[in-house]
Amino acid sequence: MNSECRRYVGLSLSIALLWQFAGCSEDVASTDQYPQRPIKLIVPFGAGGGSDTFSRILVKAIEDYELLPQPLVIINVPGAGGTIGSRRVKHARPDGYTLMQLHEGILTSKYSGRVNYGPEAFIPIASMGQSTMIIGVGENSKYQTLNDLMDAATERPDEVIFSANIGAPSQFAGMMLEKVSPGARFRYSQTGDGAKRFAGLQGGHTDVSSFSLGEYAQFQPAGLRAIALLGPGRHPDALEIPTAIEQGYDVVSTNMQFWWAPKGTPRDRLDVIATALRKAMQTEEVQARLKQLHIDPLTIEGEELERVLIQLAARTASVSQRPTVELPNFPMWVFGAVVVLAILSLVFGRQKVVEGEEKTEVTTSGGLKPRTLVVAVFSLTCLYVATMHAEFLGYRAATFLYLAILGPVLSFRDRKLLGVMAMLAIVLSVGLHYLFTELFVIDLP
Amino acid sequence: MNEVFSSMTMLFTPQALGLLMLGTSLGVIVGAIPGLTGAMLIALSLPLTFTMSPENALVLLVSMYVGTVSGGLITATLLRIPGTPASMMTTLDGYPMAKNGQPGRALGLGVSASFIGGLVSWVFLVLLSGPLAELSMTFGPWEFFALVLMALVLIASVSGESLSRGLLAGFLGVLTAMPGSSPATGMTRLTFGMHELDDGFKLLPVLIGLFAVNQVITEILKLHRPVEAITVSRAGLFLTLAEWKRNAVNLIRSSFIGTFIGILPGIGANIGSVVAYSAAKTTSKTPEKFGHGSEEGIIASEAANNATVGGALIPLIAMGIPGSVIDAILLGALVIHGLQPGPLLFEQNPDVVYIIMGTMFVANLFMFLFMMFSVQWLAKLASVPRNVLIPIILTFCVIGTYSLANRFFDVWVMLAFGVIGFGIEKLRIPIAPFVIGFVLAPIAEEHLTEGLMQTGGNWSPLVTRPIAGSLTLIAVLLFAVTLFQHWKQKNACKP
Repeated sequence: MNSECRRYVGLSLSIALLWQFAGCSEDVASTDQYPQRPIKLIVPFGAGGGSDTFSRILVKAIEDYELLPQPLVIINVPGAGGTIGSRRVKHARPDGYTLMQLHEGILTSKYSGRVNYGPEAFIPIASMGQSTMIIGVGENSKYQTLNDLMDAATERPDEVIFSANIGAPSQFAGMMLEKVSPGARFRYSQTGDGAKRFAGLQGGHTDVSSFSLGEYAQFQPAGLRAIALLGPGRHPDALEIPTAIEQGYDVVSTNMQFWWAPKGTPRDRLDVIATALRKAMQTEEVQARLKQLHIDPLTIEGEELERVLIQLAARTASVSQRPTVELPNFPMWVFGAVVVLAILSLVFGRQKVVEGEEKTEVTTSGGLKPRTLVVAVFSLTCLYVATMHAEFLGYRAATFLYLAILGPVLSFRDRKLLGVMAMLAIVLSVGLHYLFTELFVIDLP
Repeated sequence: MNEVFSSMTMLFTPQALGLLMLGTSLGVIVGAIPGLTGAMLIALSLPLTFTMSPENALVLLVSMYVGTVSGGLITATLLRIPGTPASMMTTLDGYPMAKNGQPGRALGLGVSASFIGGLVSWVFLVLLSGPLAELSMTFGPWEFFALVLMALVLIASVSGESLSRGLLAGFLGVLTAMPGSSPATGMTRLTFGMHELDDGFKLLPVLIGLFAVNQVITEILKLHRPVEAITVSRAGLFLTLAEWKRNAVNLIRSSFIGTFIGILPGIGANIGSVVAYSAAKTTSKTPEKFGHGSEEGIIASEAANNATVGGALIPLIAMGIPGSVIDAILLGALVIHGLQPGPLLFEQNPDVVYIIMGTMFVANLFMFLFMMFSVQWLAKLASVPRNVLIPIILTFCVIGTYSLANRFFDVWVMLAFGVIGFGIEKLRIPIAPFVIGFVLAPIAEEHLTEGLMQTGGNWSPLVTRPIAGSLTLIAVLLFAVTLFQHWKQKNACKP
């Protein structure tokens, strides 16, 4: 038994080392080319909105024309005006495999005080597609012109509900309007992306909101009505919308999409992306689709991009920010409820004692008590995760070792089971590694 | 209806059909192994769908859902161990009938009832979700908040033996959803300086921990118990015309009950079969047979638990509010695949909606055929040694959680919630309200803050707006009734 044991340990250790080594040599052989695996593009807004549509057009062109050897995978990370997504990218590994598409929201969320970082926390890759903002109301709204709206906001301050993404460009459009018409005050409501803002207008829950011209094109057939265009002049694609300037309000708000990479991403990798983007922007399909969405197809890179960013930052910083409605402290409420309910269930729940919960401590044939077994399996699992977390062993080696130890612990020296466990160790370590990395293109440690 | 048929043609591509068969049979198999639940299977399979198209992913996951609810009846009938919690009521009559020498007939009744239950609820899914989505388009923040409130009260009051524990579980779930970025302001809170927590606890690690890891711990504690071996004959598996006729009313009634209980947000298959079972018993001509191998009992339980699948998908598709724990995972799946659940789903991604509907129909058909022809082999699955399953599940837990976002933080969260889940179940705090609370909290907070911002901090629309007001009223009444019932029970216990 003893020698058998030793042989088992020796065998499993050597197999584990073999895979660890095999895995390493594979990695070393090919670090030069980029990209080697799919690149994640984080779009920090919900699916179906303007940003999402824009990114999908570009990604489709890149895939159709094979401008990158690996696919770009779009991941929508909506929430909090794009900051949940941008924060994730900020902390992502700067290896060129995590990129982000975020419009001027990156500036507005900094100057509204929502986050303490702005463009300086990322490297801009390129800026593409400029879209003009519009001020929109629901189909049946009583506001026909911008004057109607601003007069209402002046006569009844804080009563006209402006739905926006607080701290995002959609709110800044409203604040710029307030700035040029003294006394006017909107009540801002956090409503999320374009699709939700439009639903709110149609349902009569909000009065006005701002949209990009692209979003306007999308929702106009369903009933969105534009009362002002926030561009320097009328837009060739929507000549019917009067500008705010024409109506006496000197407000210009355009929105550009930027692609960003986490700080520290190698320059040469970003150039690969920038080249692909530039080529994608020039394809017929993209040009046609952007025209449909009323987005002007311009591409800015390099020094010009830096200058544009500085200019935009100045414009955003000039609008004053004021706090929205004081909201209750939800975490405290919930915590309070938990404490109260815990006390209640202690007091009232005690009479009902469950009948005959098993108290028998049966020892298994392996000699371990069930509870000890649980602790053993759980600690082993923690150790397994820690080994991979510390990058001490790769997935295949760590999994094989883990299962090679777990097998005997769980099979209680049953010979037949032990054989099955050994098979499992091999299948789960190598098989799953293949399944995930090759078939599902998901990274493993 | 046209769109439904066009989605059917999408479904009949070899790839989609293959996934559907794989999903349904895996679901049935997992359902047939006591200790493995549908929630566990679907949560663990979700990472595998990341690179599929959203349509294919939903085909796989929805067919698994259909499969697991059905598979549980095998061990419930043959061993008196419900393969999944939803088959609890089937043990009452299925097991006695099987013991009386009619195992084939008992299984046949269960499988056929499951099939009919699934089909009836599918009809409702197709008919109701469209109009309901349209209705909820007019819902504002207060209506949604009231709806979530009602769902929370509903689930807390029906799960577990104590209302306070049910509510406690719900609020613990809500508390778990608090760390991370506030949905209103985007400011991070309760992260204790950990940047990994900026995004909060993710759905998948928490769910895999609560269901899979927790279950593994429970299974290890039971490892020493011997596994029963079973044999089964096929005699009586296919129902005769007379049997169909005799049970037609019961079948339809139980399917209706299951569907409508499924629609109620927050409660799933378990409650549906309990209610249908007691309804069948009270209306039966032979109530004394219930619990001793009554065919009506088997039919009521199995028709209802399968009917909840279609019912529970209705609020998920129409409003983005999950009707059960598995629907909560499906909600997460939609989000991961870049789809926005809610009333806009119908407008923006109608193909996805119809794919879900189509899958449910075809998966039911396939489930029926698959179970009818392979039930004697499926029965053997109950004796698969748990020792072998545990390493497989644990490895999948780790790899699945890691691949969600390529970070080990999630894996640690998953392990921690495994222990937490085990602990709170030991304290007799039910897990279902915890999960629903965790999933609904961000939805509730988002809508509540939106509403408060629109009214300038005024709460009154919650009762003054007609729809929101009625929903709130229902929630309060429900709460009062449950409180009263518990109070009456307690007094009855104290003679």
